Amino acid sequence: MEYHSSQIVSLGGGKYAIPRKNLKELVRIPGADVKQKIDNVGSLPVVRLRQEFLPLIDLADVLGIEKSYVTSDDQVKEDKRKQIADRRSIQHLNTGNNAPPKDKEDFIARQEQDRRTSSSSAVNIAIVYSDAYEYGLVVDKFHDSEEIPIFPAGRYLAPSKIYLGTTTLKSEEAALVMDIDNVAFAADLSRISETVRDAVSHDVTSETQTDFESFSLLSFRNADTEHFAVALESVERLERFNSSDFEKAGTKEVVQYRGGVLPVFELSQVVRCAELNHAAPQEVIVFKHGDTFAGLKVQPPIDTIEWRGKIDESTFNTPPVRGSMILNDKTALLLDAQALVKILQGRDA
Amino acid sequence: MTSPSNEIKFLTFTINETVIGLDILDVQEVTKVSDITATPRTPDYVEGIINLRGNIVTVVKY
Repeated sequence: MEYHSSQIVSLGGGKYAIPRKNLKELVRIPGADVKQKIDNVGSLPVVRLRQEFLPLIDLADVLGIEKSYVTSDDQVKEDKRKQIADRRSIQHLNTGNNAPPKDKEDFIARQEQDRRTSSSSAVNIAIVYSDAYEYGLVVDKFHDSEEIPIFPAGRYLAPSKIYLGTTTLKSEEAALVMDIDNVAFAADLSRISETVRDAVSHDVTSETQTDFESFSLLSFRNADTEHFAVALESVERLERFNSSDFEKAGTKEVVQYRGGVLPVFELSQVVRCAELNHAAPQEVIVFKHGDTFAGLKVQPPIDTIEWRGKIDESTFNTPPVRGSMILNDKTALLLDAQALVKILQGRDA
Repeated sequence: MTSPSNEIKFLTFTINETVIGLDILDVQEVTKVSDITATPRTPDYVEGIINLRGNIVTVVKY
């Protein structure tokens, strides 16, 4: 059976797989940024990403299911906001509308709305590319990436054309694999793209923050107080293993993985930092270097973030550390994944 | 005791109080499922898909 690397997402209680070959990056727009980053061009939603506008397709619309959102306790709720751009931030509700609440009831109603907004208004977008277009696919939630088998769509699923096939996940759930090319087609993206292109060509100049670059990063910790980040594009996938899964083979630590062996290491073997707390839960970031894989054990939470700013490359710059940055008020070291894996392999040779 | 060769066994069940029989030779197995994955954009009579020991099986309803 052939396995395909795929990103698992969920929507309305169901899980869907996006083939890795179609995936560019995962973007989470926090509630406070939605107003600024997501807009309507005409009646079409777009997301602003690094001075570029990408059309947005709501997977719920493509599937014809109720829009929903996932609350912090993982409950799926129906989303009454009709359009993505309507998911306004608290900031916007407080400052954008200076008129005092008409009466107490209105005020309470607004607070209710704010509360819901604050817990769930972030928009999760998988940036994907089809043969012809790059677009953002709005989903409820991102899950892990997985190696999955893809079964043919079959006579009931094939006619809709939006499914590449079906699959079984690690969790043993059955799931649907999306056909990213045909989703674009189903949403009539050719029309949307043209409208977006026409409408924004003169608008882009209005925002010029060219001094700052934007990066898609994966942030994680080594010890409680040691924060790190790597470029999201360098990450093959994330995996979680039990501590009993790790084995010693010669001088290496390995874990059995999909019929093969994945060498794992921790940051203290490469960078001057504390040893990992082995009692705490650990996750493994899998990097690919050439044809080989290597797993880096880290301490959760692992987060994907869109970071905008200038990387300080003078204070810390000994490979594999590329530089430093401020992430959520903490100094984080940015690692160069390729250099990291090279150092490990050089040591083995 | 041997059964006559023309005897057919049926799996019987009811849908909306109608008793229905299926030639038992057409039945592979009867299984209990809890999680059916919904399949949007399929005909109404398709309830969804299930993972039956690594194979995807379509579930239909009446």
